[in-house]
Amino acid sequence: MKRRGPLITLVLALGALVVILSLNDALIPNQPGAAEAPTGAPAEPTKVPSDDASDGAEFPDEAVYAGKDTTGKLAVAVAIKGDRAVAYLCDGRSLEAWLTGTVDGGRVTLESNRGATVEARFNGKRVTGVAAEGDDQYAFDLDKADPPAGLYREQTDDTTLGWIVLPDGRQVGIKNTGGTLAPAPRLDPETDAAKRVTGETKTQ
Amino acid sequence: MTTAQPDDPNASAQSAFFIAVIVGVMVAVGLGTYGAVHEPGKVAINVAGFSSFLAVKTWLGTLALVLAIIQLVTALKIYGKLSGGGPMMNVLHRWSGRAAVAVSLPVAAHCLYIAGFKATDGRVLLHSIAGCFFYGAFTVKMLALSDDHSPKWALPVAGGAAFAALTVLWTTSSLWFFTTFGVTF
Repeated sequence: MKRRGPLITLVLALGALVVILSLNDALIPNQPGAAEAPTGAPAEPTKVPSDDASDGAEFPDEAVYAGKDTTGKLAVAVAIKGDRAVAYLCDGRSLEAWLTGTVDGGRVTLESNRGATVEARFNGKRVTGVAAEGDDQYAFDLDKADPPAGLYREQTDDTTLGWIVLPDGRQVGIKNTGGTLAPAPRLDPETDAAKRVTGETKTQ
Repeated sequence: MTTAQPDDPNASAQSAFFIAVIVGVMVAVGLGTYGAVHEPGKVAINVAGFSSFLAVKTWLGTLALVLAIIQLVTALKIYGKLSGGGPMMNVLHRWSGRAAVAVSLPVAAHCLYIAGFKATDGRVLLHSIAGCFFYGAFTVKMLALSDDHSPKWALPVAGGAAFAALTVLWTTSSLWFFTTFGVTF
């Protein structure tokens, strides 16, 4: 004797999976700009100002982006790996923040455990967004930072060092000893390649 | 009883279950192949109120695990391994199972579509394998359930396999998310 309930459950479940997957496929090629509004799901909250101008670009699997904010005061680096991201804000003297977050397509959202935030978007080439630290906001537009440029970190018992090496070779770094901040000593990106931070590095 | 039966009902039972396992393997391998071959898509769905769809998946996955634990408990009661069985247990088992699979679907679709079958590191590989295996085990269980001639051990084994796979899935994703990013939405 055959029981039909489980068969119906099975067909519905696998059918639903196929429908969701093919619905995605059907929607994408025709609407490259609709990256945030697919498949009838509730819309994503709009946070990054450039959301509307999204061109649908998606972050590569692994990359680091670095640059200065528009005032030139703060260096910003964002490291991506898979769907995880790490960012570092650093002015080289008295302000720094390590943030972790997630990548969702071409969008990255990060947060530090002290409340600093970074929200940015990838346009296929550059990463633009806003960092908020305390009461200040910093807009940035970051270039890809391939080695020896990139983000570096070293952690010992009570000391954490962070460096952003900009694509032009300039360095911005801070040495944090138990909460006391000071400029970091110069880093040799070649010999200290092991200190490179990826989107998966644990920083908090 | 309407279908033609071979002389030995045991052989029929075994071959029917054998076919169920084959179909389950085909489902698992099919999903894995799709995940490996399909070029990752760009659509990023999110649900209002969550920081990212990764967070949505984390909570849907956690819900699926809770439902799976209900599955385990009701199954033990149905089989008399725990006291307090009854006809309600069958209903609860059936519907918690359907709900668990239902909430797993958007998660699986997102995984398969955006990420695919990956071997980036041990966690990701284990998660990819467990994900495909879960739907294979689920398929075997549904097919075995629909046929009264299935061996007695078929349901506990297939159900146990699905539960184990879901536990591995949750540990390699939601637990990882919680330990990495904290218990956030």
